[in-house]
Amino acid sequence: MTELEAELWRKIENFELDDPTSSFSFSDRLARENDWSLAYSLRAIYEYKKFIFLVCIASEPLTPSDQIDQVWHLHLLYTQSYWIEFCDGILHRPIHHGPTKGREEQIRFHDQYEFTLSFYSNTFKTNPPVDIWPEPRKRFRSIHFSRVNRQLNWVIPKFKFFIK
Amino acid sequence: MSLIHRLKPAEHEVLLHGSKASIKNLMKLTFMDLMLKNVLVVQESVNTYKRGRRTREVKTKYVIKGRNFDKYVPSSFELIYLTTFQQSPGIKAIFVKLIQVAYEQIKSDAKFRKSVWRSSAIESCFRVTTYDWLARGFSLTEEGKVMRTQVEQELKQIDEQLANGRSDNLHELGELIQKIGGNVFLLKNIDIQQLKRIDTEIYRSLQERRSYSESSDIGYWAYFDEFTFDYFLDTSCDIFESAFDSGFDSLDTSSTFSGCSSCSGCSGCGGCGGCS
Repeated sequence: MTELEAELWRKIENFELDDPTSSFSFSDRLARENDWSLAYSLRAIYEYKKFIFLVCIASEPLTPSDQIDQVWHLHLLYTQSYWIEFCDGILHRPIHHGPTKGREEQIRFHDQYEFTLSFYSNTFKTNPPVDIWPEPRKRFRSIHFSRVNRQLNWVIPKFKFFIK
Repeated sequence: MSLIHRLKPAEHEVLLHGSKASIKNLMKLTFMDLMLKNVLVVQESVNTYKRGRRTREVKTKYVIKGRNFDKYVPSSFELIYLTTFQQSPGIKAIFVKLIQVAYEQIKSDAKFRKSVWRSSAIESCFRVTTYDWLARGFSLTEEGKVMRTQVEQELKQIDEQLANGRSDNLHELGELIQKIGGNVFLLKNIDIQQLKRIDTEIYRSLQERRSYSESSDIGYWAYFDEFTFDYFLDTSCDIFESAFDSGFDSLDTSSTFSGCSSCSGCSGCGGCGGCS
């Protein structure tokens, strides 16, 4: 990491998504909407910051894990925080989110994700945690999500035998 | 000083109060002990956010890994605070969030108390009879009763020594405090200003001797740098306790919030294609 990159990482790392005075903060919402523990949500937010940092210093497009993607989606909803405080105030550039256009881009994103993982390792000198950055084979397999009203429905997990 | 310096504050609390030991106190004492040992450190920072022409400043207390984190061997009940940092070493957790995280990991009050007394130092002091099992409690063994009495006497003795302590006995008091470490917060007669004077005395004598080593046994006071210790003492009895209490007390209400007021959510996307 160069000095400038280190400075940028420091600023991103110190950027706070949670409002400490709020009783239902960003991380609380992230945990609730994804059925994650708060501990996992905080770690996912930390990994999201790392991803954004990598985006800023990379010369090629990067693809996050689904978990990081969920953090990003939620941050995009906090428009003031994302566009003004983060992109403008910290990064000094816009970072746009580009949803996939479909199956025809599958191989491209698989390759991009593999590159992102190795770029992470080279930059931070440590491997990304596999529970937040799964291996490429798993990354694009289990992502068929729907929004479910838990007050009206039970959600029962499948046995592993039935999972493709 | 045969027992008190061997046990961690939470172990003392369970030894003294048994099944009635308050979870809040156990969590608070555990955290304070980890801070004193420099396993975790609390820092305060001011974050500045710009929105157009307006600038907003937010003062936030964060918890990070301390100097002694990597060499510290935790008891299982301490992992409620440490697991997050073990899995993401560089993370900075907002103080009240860390309390929430810790509480989330406590499956039940009874199980947490059990994890404290199941720690190696006091396991032989407790047993679970059939009645205890039904009531989800535990009882003291004969050994435990003896140990409890001994600990009560030792704490009382130290309390009296502190109450009668004079400023010219700072070094003696300092040695006393060093031996009991985090259990200092179990004392009734603890005087924060007196503690500060004691620590200054210890720090001064250590600087003169230049004999302490970072590779030696994890002590308490020798590892404080002035900022951390003064900050901790200034916050430990008043602001820290109220910050901990308000963080802990908010736990019941934070999970009942049912929605947000200003957005209807979004339909999501089929995956992220990355960005450039």
